[in-house]
Amino acid sequence: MGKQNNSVEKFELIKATSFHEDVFYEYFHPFRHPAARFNIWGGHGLETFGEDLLIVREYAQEYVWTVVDCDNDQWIIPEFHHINRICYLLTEVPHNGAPVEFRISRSTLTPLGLKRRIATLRKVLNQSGKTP
Amino acid sequence: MTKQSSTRKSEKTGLTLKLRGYNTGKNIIDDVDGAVELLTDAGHCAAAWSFRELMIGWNKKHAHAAYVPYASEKVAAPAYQYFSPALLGEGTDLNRYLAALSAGLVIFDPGSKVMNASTAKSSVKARSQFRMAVKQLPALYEKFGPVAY
Repeated sequence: MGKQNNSVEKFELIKATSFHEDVFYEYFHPFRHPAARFNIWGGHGLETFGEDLLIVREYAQEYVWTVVDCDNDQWIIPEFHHINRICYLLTEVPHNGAPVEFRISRSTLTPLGLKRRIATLRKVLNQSGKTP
Repeated sequence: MTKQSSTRKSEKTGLTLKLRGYNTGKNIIDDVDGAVELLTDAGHCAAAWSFRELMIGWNKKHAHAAYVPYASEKVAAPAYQYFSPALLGEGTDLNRYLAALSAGLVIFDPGSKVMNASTAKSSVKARSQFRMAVKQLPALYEKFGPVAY
């Protein structure tokens, strides 16, 4: 896309710690809502419209995550977002607004690698005071 | 493969993408029970997206879309800068999407992963995407153009 020079505003964000998606599944336990109408994201996801969206909006927000597409990568990030959204996820364990993000990867962590990253996640959650 | 259906084989996956029920000669759906399918060389269906489900999702998610150019920095904390004009797309339907897919303007980006494949608790995480270049976006909309903000 041809870019013009009239930049609107520069946003600096709090740095989130990035993890492999395997850590997300292992620690936060996403689940399919019984009233979900579609099979997006392997059946775990809730769509961005209709009754699925109502479920997301009415659910306790500390259990809501957004799957987004960014720079040709996909990420799972805490809370409800509009921009670049693909779908929403609900988890059994709350995120409590922790500064974490999970990159979707075609690789799989080894059991040891997963254990280490879970330990790092616990540390990040403790430091940010967001431990569930 | 019929004259009217569209097929494309991926060298990487060995799977052939087929639009079953879509007439590429007339650019219309001639079988509402059709689907976008990924087929093996033996003709087995590895994955499929029915036109019915795609239609619901496509029309609701893409009827009004804004594409905002941006630049990002990831040195210390991530920072994003957004630029004007944005591109607005209005009015779309599944036929436009299938025509773009058939013409090769939309690319299938497979993203399935099998977890714990050798155990009884194996599961498939499916998150495939269909992508296209920004310059091809006008093909998807009735009205498409820049809007300064």
